[in-house]
Amino acid sequence: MSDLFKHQPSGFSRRSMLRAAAAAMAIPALARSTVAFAQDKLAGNGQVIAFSWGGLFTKGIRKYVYEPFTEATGIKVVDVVADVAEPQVKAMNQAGRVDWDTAFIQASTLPSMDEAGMFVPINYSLWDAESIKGTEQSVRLKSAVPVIASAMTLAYDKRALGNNGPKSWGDFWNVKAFPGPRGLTQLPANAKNNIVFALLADGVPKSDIWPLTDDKIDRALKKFDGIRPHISKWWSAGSEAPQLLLNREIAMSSCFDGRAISAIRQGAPIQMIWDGAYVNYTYWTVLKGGPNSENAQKLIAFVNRAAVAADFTTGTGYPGPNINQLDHLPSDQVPLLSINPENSSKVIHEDSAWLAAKRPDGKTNLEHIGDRWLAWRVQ
Amino acid sequence: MARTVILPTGNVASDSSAVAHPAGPTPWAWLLLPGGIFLALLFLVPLAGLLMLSLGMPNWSFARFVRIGGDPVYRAVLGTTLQISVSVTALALVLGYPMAYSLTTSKSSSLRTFLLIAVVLPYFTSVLVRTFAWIVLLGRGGIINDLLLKLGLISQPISMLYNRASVIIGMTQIVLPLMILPMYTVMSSIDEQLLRAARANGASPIAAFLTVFLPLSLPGVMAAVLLVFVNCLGFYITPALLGSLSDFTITMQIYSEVVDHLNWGSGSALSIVLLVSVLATLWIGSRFFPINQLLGLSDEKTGQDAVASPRTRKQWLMQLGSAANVLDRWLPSLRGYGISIVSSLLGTILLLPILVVAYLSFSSSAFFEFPAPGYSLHNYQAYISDAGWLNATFTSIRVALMATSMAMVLGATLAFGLARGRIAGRGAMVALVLSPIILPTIVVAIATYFVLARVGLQGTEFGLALGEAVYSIPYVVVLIVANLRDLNPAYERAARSLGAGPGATFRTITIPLITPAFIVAAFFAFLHSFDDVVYVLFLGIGVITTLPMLMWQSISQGVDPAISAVATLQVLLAAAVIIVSAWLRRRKSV
Repeated sequence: MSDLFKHQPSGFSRRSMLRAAAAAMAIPALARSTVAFAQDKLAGNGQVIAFSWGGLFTKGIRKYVYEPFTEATGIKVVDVVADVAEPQVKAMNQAGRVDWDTAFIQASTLPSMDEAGMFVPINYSLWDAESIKGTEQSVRLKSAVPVIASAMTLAYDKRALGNNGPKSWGDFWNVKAFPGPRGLTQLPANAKNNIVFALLADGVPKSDIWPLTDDKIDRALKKFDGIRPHISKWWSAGSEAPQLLLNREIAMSSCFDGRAISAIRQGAPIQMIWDGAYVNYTYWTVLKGGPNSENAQKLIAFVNRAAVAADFTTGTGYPGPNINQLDHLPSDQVPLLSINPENSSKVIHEDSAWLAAKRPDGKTNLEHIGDRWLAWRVQ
Repeated sequence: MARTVILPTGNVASDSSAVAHPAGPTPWAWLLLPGGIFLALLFLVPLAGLLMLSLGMPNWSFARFVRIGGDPVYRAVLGTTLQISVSVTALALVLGYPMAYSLTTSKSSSLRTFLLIAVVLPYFTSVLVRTFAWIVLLGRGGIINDLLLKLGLISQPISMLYNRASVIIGMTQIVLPLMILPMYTVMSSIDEQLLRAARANGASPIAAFLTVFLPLSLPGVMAAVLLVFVNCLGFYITPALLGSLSDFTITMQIYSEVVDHLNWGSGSALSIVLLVSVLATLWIGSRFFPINQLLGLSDEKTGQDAVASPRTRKQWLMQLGSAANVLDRWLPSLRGYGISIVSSLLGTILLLPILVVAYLSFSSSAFFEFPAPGYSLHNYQAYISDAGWLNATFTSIRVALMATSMAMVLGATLAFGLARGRIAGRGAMVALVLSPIILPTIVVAIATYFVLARVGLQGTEFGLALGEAVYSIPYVVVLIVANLRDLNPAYERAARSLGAGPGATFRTITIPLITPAFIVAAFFAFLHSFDDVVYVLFLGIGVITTLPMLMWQSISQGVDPAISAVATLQVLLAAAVIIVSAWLRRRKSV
């Protein structure tokens, strides 16, 4: 356990732009919170055992959220890290030994886990009025609230396609006008994204995409028959897409916004297209039976304050749900984010509730799409 | 030093125990007890849990198995998995045998050290780092395409990646140590005088190799092939990173069921199908081919009879030798350097991706770009300034050392018990010992978590080591058994007849002769624990951060600049350990 407490991101060095932004953002927040230590309504004691994804994400959230939180409330944050949380949460719940207080849960597995009683309700009474107002009601769920919105966008190599690159998924499918090898994800859980992209390319209006009924899946798979020979790489790790664009291995690809943004900040010649980007949420949850549930509620209330939410976005590269953070973010950062109103009007939001719903055969719609995709991919 | 029994499949070890103990469980069989209890608690109990889950407890039903059996998709996925595994095993054998041969017989100790480094080092880099290095080498804009374009040999970059071939090449590089080192342990115990005797009696070098060396090396080949094949079944990251869309393996599907859909019933059902089909294949195979016997796990004569009677085999070997003698006159002579040249070349190819990583660690870009846009030490600064990397390194070493000691003690006793003991149901015992590496690690890890959580050992380094030891025991057992089989009991009998007690005999004869096998077994036990990213997910339950886990997180979620520096330092450290130990050995032998 001792390793945990030693884990200090003392030497954490991000891009210079970020550092400048950090100086602008974090200092006021810190100054405010040290003054407010005793008065902050979230003040408490002890610790909270908080899950995050490790790597740069954990370094960012620790510096921009956890440290100010401890400053403001006196509550220490202990990291638990892994690249997925859902199976461990299920295992801990079933074993009756819940060692974590919070976990990040995918939208599509959230309902079944919630039904199984793995979470306690979010205590919105601890939230500032401003946080409530800035966070859309449709995502303020009973036992979960978004930690990040992530978008899978179309991204292309500006060296290969200049400024006249593809503007939509229709262009992605147009191999004559936009030549070059292409990439898409092969992650089984993201087959739904590919299906949606194919439907958009085939001319289905955004409002008609959901639900992904079998006739629409047929239509999408047929569309894929045509493009399959042109997809030279089906990627499976998020960092592959920008890396392959940079290596000229592919000219265009689907790519997570966080990965593309971090590459662009490092000078990669990558252009993101927001039209038809697939947006979904990952949620904070407070685990039932966790050792410090009350402190977990306080951490979640804290991170959703507009100024802290802006710091969170700066530190992790992914935006949380509170739209008021736009007032606190540096202006050069805003155009790259999915919550920027200009981008958010073009994206397509996942119907997570439909994906998680059970079919007559007992499988979820998500599993059914996975089965259909698997049958197509191995044929 | 005369060797009395040289028949390649002569079952010497168990013959002796048969002589000493004509019936009933022998004293050696008691050695099966500690390892057996350990596996029962930490593997059989979780396995039973899995089986219940796949049968849909509490409502028993075979529905899941029926669905798997009736679905052509699963048959296709299983078929792909088998094709990839068989191809990789075959390629690794073809490339690995000459390298193991050079490693054993080369007179040049620097060549031997070089080969050892080339084979072992690729293990010490994260799989994603290694893949990005392959892209730099083989990609469309990579070094080789660049070279071919400049030389005018091609007019368009050719795609060498993201197909079945690149999956096989990438996996072969990873499994080569597992192929080479078991063969090496057995080859190094082959008595050179036997080859000299063959040559003196008129055999050409090729004939002597084919009739003497090759047959005597077969136990090592068998152990290596078995371990590599089973290991290949569990691959899920490399096929995804280097393959095409259709290179989808059963383990990838199991991961998706378990992690994406939390559908543990289906995940366990698929795992049980995989386990049963592999064990059934091995069992059927052992009816036609003396797998057990070659591994040293049989005390029956049936395996021998199934192949051929000793007399026909002798005749067959004679004919093979004469044919090789005739052939030898027609082959160009490389003065015995042929194998050395081939294996040096292979070694160099294996090291190329690592050289690329080392070069890129000095790049000013965090991405894997070739040529580097500029040079700097900022990758190393990023590593040094972050205590997390060093902490994770020490955690990994501590856990791996604990897991290795447990696996060595329990695995070695199991190996002696299996090779020398006689007990009813030994076949079942062999299946039990092999099963932990046949089942996908993720399902075993979850099942083990429930056992550990019951006693509060989840999230402790000791608990993690317990789980990883279960996974390492099979490697230890197979490696040691393969070497025990070739351990001539005549040596031990000679020692006993000269007045040595059983303890002294064991200490002075048995232990020294199987030391190479112990070292290699410990090496793999260590490496498999050190390399693990799955057990730690569940048994470490987020509290324990190991080095491979940190590397994976740092590269799969945006490239941390420290990553190539870490990979390079890790490789340098491993190379230093190998070179120093080779140097110490040379000093000792002088």
